[in-house]
Amino acid sequence: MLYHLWTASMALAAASLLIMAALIVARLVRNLRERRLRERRALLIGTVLGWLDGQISEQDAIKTWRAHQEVLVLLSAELLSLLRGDEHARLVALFETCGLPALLRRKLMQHQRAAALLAAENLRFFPGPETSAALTAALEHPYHEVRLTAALSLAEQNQAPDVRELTSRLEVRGNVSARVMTALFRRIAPQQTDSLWALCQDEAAPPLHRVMALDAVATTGNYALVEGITRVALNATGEVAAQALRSLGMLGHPAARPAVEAALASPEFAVRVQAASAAGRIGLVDMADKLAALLADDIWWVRYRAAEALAELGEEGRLRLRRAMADGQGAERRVATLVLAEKGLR
Amino acid sequence: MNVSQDTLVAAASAAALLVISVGLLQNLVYLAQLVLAALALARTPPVERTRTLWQRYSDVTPPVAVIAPAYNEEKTIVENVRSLLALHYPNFEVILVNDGSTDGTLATLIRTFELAPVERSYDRAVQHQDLRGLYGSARHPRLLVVDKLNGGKADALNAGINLARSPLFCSIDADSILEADALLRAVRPFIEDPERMVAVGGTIRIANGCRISAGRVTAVGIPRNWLALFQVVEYIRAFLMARLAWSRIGTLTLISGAFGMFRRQYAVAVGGYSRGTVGEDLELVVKLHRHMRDQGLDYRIEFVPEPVCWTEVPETWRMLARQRTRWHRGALETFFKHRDMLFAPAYGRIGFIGFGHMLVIDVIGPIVEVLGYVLIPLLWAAQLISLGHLLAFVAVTFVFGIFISVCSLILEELELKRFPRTSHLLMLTLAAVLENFGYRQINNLWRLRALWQYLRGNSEWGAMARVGFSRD
Repeated sequence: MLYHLWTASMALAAASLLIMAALIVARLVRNLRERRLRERRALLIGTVLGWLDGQISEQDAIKTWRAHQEVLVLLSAELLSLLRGDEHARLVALFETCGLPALLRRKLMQHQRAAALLAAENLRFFPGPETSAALTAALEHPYHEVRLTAALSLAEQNQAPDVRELTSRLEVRGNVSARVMTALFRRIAPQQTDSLWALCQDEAAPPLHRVMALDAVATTGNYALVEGITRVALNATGEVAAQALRSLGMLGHPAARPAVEAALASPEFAVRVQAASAAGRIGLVDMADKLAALLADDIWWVRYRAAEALAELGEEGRLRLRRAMADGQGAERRVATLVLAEKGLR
Repeated sequence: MNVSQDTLVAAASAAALLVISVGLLQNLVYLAQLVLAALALARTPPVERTRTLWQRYSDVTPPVAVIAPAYNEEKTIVENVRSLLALHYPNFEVILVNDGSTDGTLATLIRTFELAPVERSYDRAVQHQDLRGLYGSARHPRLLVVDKLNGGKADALNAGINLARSPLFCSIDADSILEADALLRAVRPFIEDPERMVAVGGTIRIANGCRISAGRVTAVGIPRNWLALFQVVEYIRAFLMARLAWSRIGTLTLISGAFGMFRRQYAVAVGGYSRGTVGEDLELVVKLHRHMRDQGLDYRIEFVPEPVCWTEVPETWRMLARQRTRWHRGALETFFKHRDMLFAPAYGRIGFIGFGHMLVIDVIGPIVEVLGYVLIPLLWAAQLISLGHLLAFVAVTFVFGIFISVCSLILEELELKRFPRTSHLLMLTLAAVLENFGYRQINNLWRLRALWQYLRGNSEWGAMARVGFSRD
């Protein structure tokens, strides 16, 4: 047994050293290939610049790019992100002539994650029915990063499916986070405001979906939604109510007053925090006394947001802060003093 | 052979077998880590380009406060703060905590960044020494400098936690260099699992031998100093193998103090960093595990290999001895402070694997291994144990050590390829072999010294003289 331990350790150590030696050789080869890749990149960039300046003919440019299509795939998004306006449009047209979008669509359907991801990202530059169809099909891709990137590219081309379909297709296999979905919802909000608004009001929908939808619709700045969001804020609880108040603050319309007033007295601190912030952002001066009362709240975040809101309300609010600084006790006095100092109002 | 001789041989054989068994157990733990790390790396999504991450996440990244405690760092503080302010992240604030420096750290900051006294309302959620002042700059709105009475690193970090207003904070050493996209990469697990993610650790890599320009690592290299080179191999083993493996099975107990991102609300819930300890980073993570499990909350604490923080390591034996003794004392402090978690069913994998690992590797391992270096050759020379015992001991200490170190290099090369030149790989392979002959043994002696200091109640930090990055 003891001798076996010795033999096994020697065999394992020798095997590991042999593998490492093979990897070192592989690295030598790889470094050479990377050098060639860098040279091809330089060649392609030079061709693009020469073609844009009119020093290289379209035929020559196409010939060069077709000869190095794999490098072109890696380089295309970088080049297209750098260019704007007419030059961007010319390059897109030329890449289409080279057959790049078709190549990207083929790569998108491959089960190789890195290639599919790159294709999903790059196809956003090549809108059209075929691209939309490929990106929509990619919403079923086995890798969630690819599904998500395809959805973002579709959103950028205003081709995203309806929000409910999108949610179910992206979430069906899990792994898609709320924060990433929030970004997606915000991108589709201008085109799908009605669908998102329907989701906001749907009490049977998962709270997280309603939160994301409420956030997204607020980014549109559509005042017609204020009344409805106010109703949501008044009727909902927890994270949905807190987000509704946050959205009302983002919209900044005084019609939100009933919801803000009620929420300032909510038993949930997260709701009070958002209500205080919303009061300040909307400029609800008549809420100053209620905000002043929150300066003595048990939770620091409520005290702080209430003080911040009072500072935003102009002289009426600042008067309350100065009064709390002079006559208040403990935490109330401290937050008023520090926020006045922080805002340069003391 | 008489009876007493037989007894002596049996006792010697038993002692040798104990030493070999503990060594074997340690190697089995490393082997398990290696397999788990390989699986984790194989299933990790490809490393995405910064541009892709920015495009995907920039709209939804939560604000982050980068908390950097500084003590007597006058010479390097300006460049380090500039480097932090240049991080690529949509919404962050740098909170530099001057922990009662006795040199010109604060004056240098005030002069360079045109700082002026400011006030800020903050939640006194965790304990720390009194603040002497806060400073801000109109030219650098992301920077807040906190001046406070000296209280140690944990105390300074607590001050930063109180002043932070973001849901996440990132603790770093002021003299380390974060890669420009490190925050964006470290925040990704918080974006993808916002409900459960509590803390994320990133990789610490060694900057000795790299080219540094304007607070950035512009060319990766390897140190010329052998002591630093051994540490490169050690860091690869610690981060790419051990932390990744434990992270994969939810038993990560250490997020390095040089770079970790935490959800502020939970750090506050556990009282922040424990003051007066030397292993505050390890202890915070253990406290988080304890808190989340005590509360019955579903949570994750993860290690992600891609966000990288570069740090300078000691190049002299004296400085390295101090650092390692301190680290190990910190581990022992945490282990014994939370010893009730060891093998406690209430703490699940943390109690069995996390604390079991600490018991085998940090507490028992060094004692038994050093005992083995003395005992086994003597017993063999006295013909009380067989050649088989001696070879088995050499196998579990030296030869398996080579196997584990080289395998961690293999993982690095297969998955990350951070070292650009073939010559780097050759040198690192050589270091992975040589570190097992001398360096490893000296490390164990430092661990024993740490145990001795711990038993005597020594809790000093010891000075860390920086040689400074070689910069362009």
